[in-house]
Amino acid sequence: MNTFLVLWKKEWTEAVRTSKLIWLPAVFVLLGIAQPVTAKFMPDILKSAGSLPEGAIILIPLAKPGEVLGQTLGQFGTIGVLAICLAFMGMVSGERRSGMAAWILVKPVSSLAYAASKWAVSTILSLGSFGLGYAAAWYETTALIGTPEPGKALAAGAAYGGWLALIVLAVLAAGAWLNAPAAAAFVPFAGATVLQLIQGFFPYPLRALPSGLATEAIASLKFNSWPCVTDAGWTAIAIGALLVWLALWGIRNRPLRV
Amino acid sequence: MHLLEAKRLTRMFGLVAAVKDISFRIGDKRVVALLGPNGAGKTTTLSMLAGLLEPTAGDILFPGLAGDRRSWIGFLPQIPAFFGWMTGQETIVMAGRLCGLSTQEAETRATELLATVGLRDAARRKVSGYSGGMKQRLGLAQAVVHRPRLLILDEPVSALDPVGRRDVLEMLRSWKQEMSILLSTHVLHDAEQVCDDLILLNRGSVLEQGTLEELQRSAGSASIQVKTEEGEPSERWLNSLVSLPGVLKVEGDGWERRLRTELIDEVREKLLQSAADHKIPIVQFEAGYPTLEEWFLKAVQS
Repeated sequence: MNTFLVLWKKEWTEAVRTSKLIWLPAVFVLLGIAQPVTAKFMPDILKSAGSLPEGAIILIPLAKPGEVLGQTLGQFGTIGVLAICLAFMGMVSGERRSGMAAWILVKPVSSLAYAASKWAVSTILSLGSFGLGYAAAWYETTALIGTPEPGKALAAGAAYGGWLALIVLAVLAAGAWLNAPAAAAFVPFAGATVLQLIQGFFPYPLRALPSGLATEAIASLKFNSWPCVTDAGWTAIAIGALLVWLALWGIRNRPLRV
Repeated sequence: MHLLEAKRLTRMFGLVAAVKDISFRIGDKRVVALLGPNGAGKTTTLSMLAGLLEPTAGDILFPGLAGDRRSWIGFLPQIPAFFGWMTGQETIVMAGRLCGLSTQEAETRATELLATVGLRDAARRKVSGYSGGMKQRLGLAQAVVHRPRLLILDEPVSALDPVGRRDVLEMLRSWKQEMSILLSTHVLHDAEQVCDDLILLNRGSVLEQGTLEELQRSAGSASIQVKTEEGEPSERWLNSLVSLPGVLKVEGDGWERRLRTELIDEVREKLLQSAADHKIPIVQFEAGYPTLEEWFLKAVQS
């Protein structure tokens, strides 16, 4: 417990001094603000940018508030996920590469405390950034378009948070096994993208895929319904457990770069 | 009473055995050098003792010390790594905290150790701005922060300049009062200066081990080297040395000879006597056991 707290403090200090604590929330907040603004002013943007003939009438129905929030989540699913993968790719693999993992693990520190400190900080940072971004999107949507239904928006946000938490775990597990930080970022990012893609083709038959958390959150906002993520939730928990085990196993067995 | 015993340690990387079937003991408060050419398995052995690598087979025992053996060990890897964004003081404090010291203790110990290793002025600077020698000193300080019983150092002096090397050897000499030290090196001169015991590794196996003296004696018979000025009498005298009683073998040519013998005192006396009788102009005379370097080369090449 004691070593966990020391490592936890170290991870936070590192996040502050390497400005991770600034840029990760900034990415999500920017994405959150940009989407409602684009949705509101799309006709004007098209009018000024496109070389349309004089008198052309553009008729784009103004998106519903929930739909805009859903589109924001769609943005989080690509750029946001990429940002998370990049932010935490070096957490384990980079430390092993530089020898810091060995530096810590030759001391009487359990691999559990080591992994848990990293997991806790990266999850809090990711979900915090997501929360800020989502809140920013909510604020902009309310200001420009209209108020989404709070309960449903929160439920969708929670489901989406679960998907992001799973991605953070995947980044840590990949880092525990891959030596190159770039590979540790690419594998979970590609995995998440592929999952979201194939689920886009068959949303209902593949509803139990963990990416169902994201797809269902977006869909529920669009159709103003409650997200139904029971199946996806269970698979996400199962896969999450598997990733935790993989991460611990990797850290325990490969503290050195060999 | 020995502090650590390694029993038949083996470590495979794929099909290659980096270390095979090595056994040794480390006595309490002894300084032990692990010698060997590059690729002999020194780093692998040290990593196993430090708990960074699981041995494929064999046991590591600390008789009399219970619990996680990492609490008793301080380790300095070959290339010490640090968080560049931390200051020197923070690094030592974190190392101390991870080893179970309280914040207060860790702070005091950090200040004290940074002064010992000569980094007092750099304590509040970021480690990313440290030079190689400063990092090596910081590495030493973090390895002893929790007063370990066994200090494991992988090539502690190889990357240092002569001044840094002397300082490190000084520190090791003073820490020797409190702990056993196991260091790997290929700088034989340093090994000779600080070490009590030597373990010679080659291609993953222990070739020889013992105290410095034992090993030098076992390295072969003592020898006397003699060199004379050029001249006919010298030549005749040098060629007659084979028949001197007690001489086992004569090596060398020209005006230089090396006599191998088991009876160094007698042979030396007779040789000097004979040189005086014949009025041989000797320019160089050396008697003794083989140097560590000769012993090393001989052991590794055989």
